[in-house]
Amino acid sequence: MHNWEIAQGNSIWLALAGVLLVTFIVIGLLTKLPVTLRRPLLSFLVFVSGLFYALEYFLPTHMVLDHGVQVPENFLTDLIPNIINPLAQDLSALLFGLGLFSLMRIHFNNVVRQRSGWVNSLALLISTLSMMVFGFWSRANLHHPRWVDQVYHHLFDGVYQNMDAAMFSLIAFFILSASYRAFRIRSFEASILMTSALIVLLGLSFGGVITDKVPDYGLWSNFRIETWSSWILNIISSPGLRAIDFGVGLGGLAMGLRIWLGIEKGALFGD
Amino acid sequence: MQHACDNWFVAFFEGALVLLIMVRIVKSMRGSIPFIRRIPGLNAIDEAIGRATEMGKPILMIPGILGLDIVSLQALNVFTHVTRTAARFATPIRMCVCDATLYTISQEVIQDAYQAEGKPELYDPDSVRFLSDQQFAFAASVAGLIQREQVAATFFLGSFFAESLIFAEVANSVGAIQVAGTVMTTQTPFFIAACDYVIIGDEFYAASAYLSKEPVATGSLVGQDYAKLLLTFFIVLGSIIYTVTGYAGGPQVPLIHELFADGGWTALLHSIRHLF
Repeated sequence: MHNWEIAQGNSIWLALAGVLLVTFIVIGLLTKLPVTLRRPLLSFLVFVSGLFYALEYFLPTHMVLDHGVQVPENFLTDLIPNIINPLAQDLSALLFGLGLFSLMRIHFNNVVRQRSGWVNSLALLISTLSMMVFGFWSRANLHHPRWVDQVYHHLFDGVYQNMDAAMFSLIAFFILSASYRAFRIRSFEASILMTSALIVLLGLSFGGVITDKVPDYGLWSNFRIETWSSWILNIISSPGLRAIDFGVGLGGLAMGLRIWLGIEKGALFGD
Repeated sequence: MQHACDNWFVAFFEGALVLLIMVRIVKSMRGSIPFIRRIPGLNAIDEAIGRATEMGKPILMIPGILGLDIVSLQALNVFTHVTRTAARFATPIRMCVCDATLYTISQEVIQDAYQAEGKPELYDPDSVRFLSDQQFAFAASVAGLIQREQVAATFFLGSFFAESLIFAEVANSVGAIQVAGTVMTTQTPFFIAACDYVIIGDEFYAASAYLSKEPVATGSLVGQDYAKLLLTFFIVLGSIIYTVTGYAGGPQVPLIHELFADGGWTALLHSIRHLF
């Protein structure tokens, strides 16, 4: 719950209209800005935003009671859930509208010009509109007929969720075909990959029965397939992944720093 | 929220990493531009574009499935290079995004790339598409697009999750040449299995420096290497301290562990007092 929360009822529509009007005025003014001024303005806004989070992190804190729990805060901390997060959500919602408009425009043109596969575009338009209509009707209007909920439930839980799960389950087949190609023994590296993968697979599944007779204590335990499997995972694989993670973290830090200080070149930041 | 005063050691350590990177950036800006080794995945970009041009089929680019962040901005940097090269040969491109914020920015970036090459008339607003913000709906749309348009080259750069293999395998089934790179270590093996060239780990962030040879980016890259050396030093130091104090009759909790725990320095001083 944040400080900007407004009253329900008719005033919410008034507030929405006001916010949209202000947003379009600001966007209009920004588009009128000369190109030479756009990049400095962008750099300035990025710097101020970054500075806010840097100050929030480095400034000393005091303990505050939040929902019965003592949490460290300074005078900037409170602004994050109350102003920054709602602003980011509002901006995302506005931009989502632009994305949806683009999607609808492309498929509407496909249908009107009867391009190949236009029936699929029609299906997309109908399903998008149905979900929007029944979703809003069911969620935004408290006094709706019961059948609206049922239709929404059928569309979301009966159709959408199942199709989502079907796409997810396809991954199982793709893993099979990709691993078949990767594990074909064509080179020395592929042989190592194949052997390691086989040991790990056996160690994590039913491979234990192969070395079942080997004692699981003392020096003998080193000859059990589970031990080889966990050795490959913990001593070979994990350090490698952590090393990659270190590199990725440092890369992110360096790029974040360049963007924050306005010295980054390339997409969005000029050549 | 985390704060510096929760653990001053971590805050100082981060400061040291930042300092190392900044020093190298400043040195590069003053003219000391370092050499960057060859990255096969990035060399393959021109090969992939060339193949798409010869076949007269489109190039597909996907900047991950997350929103606007450092990773997607880096992907856009590489895609700008891809688009500019494609524009030179009038090769069609398709860029699919999963986030509405990224969609608007991608449109701007791609349009700018065509203008920078002096071919604004080749820019097609429909080439940048917002398909869905749902993971598997997006995956299904991309798979459909790959099949319908029979793309000749694909570039998957950004943050990917379970859908990575769907993209890569479908693109493989149409015979596309594939260049992939992600910061997600869990998805890297899938890309290695299914794609022709893979950019691993921090090579992803080296991409813009490698492609542009721009002083700030190259200097930052060398700064990252210095920061890695500092990290390596602490890893070795930590291993020694752990070995010495954790197994040789010292305190049961190793010093380096306490250093990174809440209270940082206080715990370290306490442990040193305990040792003597």
